[in-house]
Formats: sequence, structure tokens, C-alpha cells
Amino acid sequence: MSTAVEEHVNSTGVDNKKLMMWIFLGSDCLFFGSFISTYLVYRNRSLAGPYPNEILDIPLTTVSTFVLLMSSLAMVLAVSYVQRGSQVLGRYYTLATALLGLVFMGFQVYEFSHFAHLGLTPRTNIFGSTFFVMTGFHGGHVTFGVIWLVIFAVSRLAETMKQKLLIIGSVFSVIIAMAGTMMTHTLDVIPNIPTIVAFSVFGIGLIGTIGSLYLLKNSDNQNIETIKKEEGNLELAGLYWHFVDIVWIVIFTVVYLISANDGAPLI
Amino acid sequence: MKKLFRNIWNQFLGHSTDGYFRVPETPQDLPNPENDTPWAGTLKLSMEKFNKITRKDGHGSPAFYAIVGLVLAVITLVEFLVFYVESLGVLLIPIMLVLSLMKFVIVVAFFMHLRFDNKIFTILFFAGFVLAVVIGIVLLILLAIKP
Repeated sequence: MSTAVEEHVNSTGVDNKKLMMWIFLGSDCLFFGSFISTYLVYRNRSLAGPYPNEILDIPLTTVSTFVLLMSSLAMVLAVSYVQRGSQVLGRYYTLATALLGLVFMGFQVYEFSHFAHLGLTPRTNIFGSTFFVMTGFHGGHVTFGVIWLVIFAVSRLAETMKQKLLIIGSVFSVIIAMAGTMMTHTLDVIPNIPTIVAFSVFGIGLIGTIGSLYLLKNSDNQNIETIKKEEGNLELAGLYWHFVDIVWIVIFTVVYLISANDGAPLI
Repeated sequence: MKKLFRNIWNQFLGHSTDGYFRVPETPQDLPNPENDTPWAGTLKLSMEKFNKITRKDGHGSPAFYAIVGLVLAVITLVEFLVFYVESLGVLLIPIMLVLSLMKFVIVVAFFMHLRFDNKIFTILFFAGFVLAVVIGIVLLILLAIKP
């Protein structure tokens, strides 16, 4: 069965899939724009605590913002290397993007559970409602992006079954390592786990991640002709991923930096 | 690289390459040449260099993207540090908005290739973006008015 896609002649003179992606991103601007506007409209109007100045943790969120920025850099490098016909580096950076996205999701899971421990849920006050809906939908976008990238890396950028299994293995190892981190008493997302178990789980995950990435590096299989065909499809995933990144840039500024000092309303 | 710096320096000072000031050779009845002041030449030259670096073969090189990523990381660090400057007061919001707008533009222009790509993508994306911003501002103004 041939899966080659013919270039269609159209009135715009650009790739249809890419055009569709940009239209979708334009509409997604409105989607997130409405959430961010709602947050700003209801800013400083919560009648009960916890208020933003009591729970928002700027250093932690700066680190997670940095992680997402670096995943964006890895994504653009992946597209760049695939364009240059380097399958190994293209695959590596695509996987790095997905793994950094997973780490960002780990930060968000910790943040949500930490807020819930402190008494902030979507039902607590108007800050909780607007905050969780906005960041939750962003987290949903990141989750979708990670799934997209992993499926793409497995189905298009890996050639042998060994490489496919190593990519899936590295993803699960990172999830196990993050689960181990969350079992520790410092984070306490998954409660009542003995410290030794938490560290063992973290260690297993870390060894799995490093091991699978090392083995993937050593299973090189350069096939330049097949990789260049994937450039357009990977670029679509890249556009989506960068969009998720710029949405977070805006959320980080509006929610965290600008309104982190908000307290009880001045009525 | 050395030649480039010397070239910029000469443009900046209005030197000609043989060590003397550049004298515009223009007859009285013609308008002055474009580069007859030191400053005009510098600006034009740096814009040309910038265009050449950012538009290499329609796409940036991996090293170029790494530098862009570094710039983004530095802006994030600046945001983090500015947040803890207590004397800023009301100025905090415009500073943060400008810094995040810079990051936004850098990611959209270089990482999403809008600078290298067809103009129709820019128009489509910014149609949605501008509409979202306008709706947000209108909502904020409407709900700030108390009856």
C-alpha cells in the first residue's frame, strides 16, 4: 500500500496540512484567550481563601517554564535535523521534546495536588475555578502533544522494533522516575509510601531512562531518504508544540508573575 | 569576523577604507547620497547582517536555534529576577507584559518559522490572536465599569 502523498495544486500555493494547522492555532488563540480573559476579569474577586499570594510558588513555576522552553528548543532542533536528513539526531530531539513535556506535566501534577492539599480546588473560590480550568486545559494540550510526539517517534522516526521498544521504554521510565519523586515525603503527592520504596522506584526509573537513551544512541540506523519525507509531518507537530509553549508564556506572565501578589479583595 | 568588525567600525565613524573620512562625491545639484552620515550606514549594515543571519537558506541553522533558545532562557531569568524587585510597584505589569511579548514574538518568528514562511500563515494566526486580545481588553473594560 502506498502512503505517499501527492502535492496538490491549490490557490494559496502552500501545503494544505500546514494551512489547516495555522487556522487551528489561530482558533486556539481564541480558545485560550477566553480563559485568560475570564481569569483577568475575575482577578481579585475571590471572597474566600486561599488567595494567589498564599499558594503560588514562583521559583518552582519558573523552573517548569524553563523546562517547557527547552522542550520547544529541542522540538525546533528535531525539525531542523530531520530537514538536514539526520535520522539519529531528529529522533533523539523528538524524544527529548516528549520527555521534557512529560517532566512539565509532572510539575503540573505536583502543583495541582499541592494546591489541593492547601485547600484550593476548582470549587473553593473564583480564583480556583478560573485557575484550574485555564491551566488544566493547557495541561491537556501538553498531554496531547506528548502522545502525538511519542506516536510519531515510534511510527515514523524509528526503524527497527528494538528502537520502537526503547522509545516506549524511555517514556515509561521517565513516568516511573516522576512517580518515585512524587512518593517522597517532601512532595507527598502519593502519600504513605516508605522513603526506601520511593527512592527505589525513582532509581529504577532513572536507570531505565538513562539505559534506554544510551541503547537508543547505540542502535544507529541512518536512512536519509526515508527521514526527509517526514519533515512536513514533524513540522506540524512542532507548530502545535510551540503554540503550547507560547500559551504557557502568556499564562506564566498573567497568572504567576503579575497576580502572584494578589490577596483578599479590597472591598 | 575581524573584517566585519572593522567594516562596522568604519561605517560607524564614516571612515573610508584607506584611513580618511569618507567624503561624498556629489555634485551640487544632486541630492545627498543615502550614506552620507556615519549613523545611517551603521543601521543599514546591521539590518542587512541581521537579515542574512536569520534568513539563511530559508531556515536557521541548529546553532542559530540554540542561541535563540539561550535568549529565551535569559529573558525568563530576567522576568524571575524582576519579580523580586519590590520598588517597581505598578511598573511591574508593563515590564512583565513587554518581556513576555518579546518571548512570544521570538518563538513565533523563529521557532514557528513565521519569519521564513509564507505571509498567509502570519495573517491567519494573528487574525485569531488579535481577535482574542481585543475581546479580552473589551471584556476587561466593560466589567471594570461599575453601574
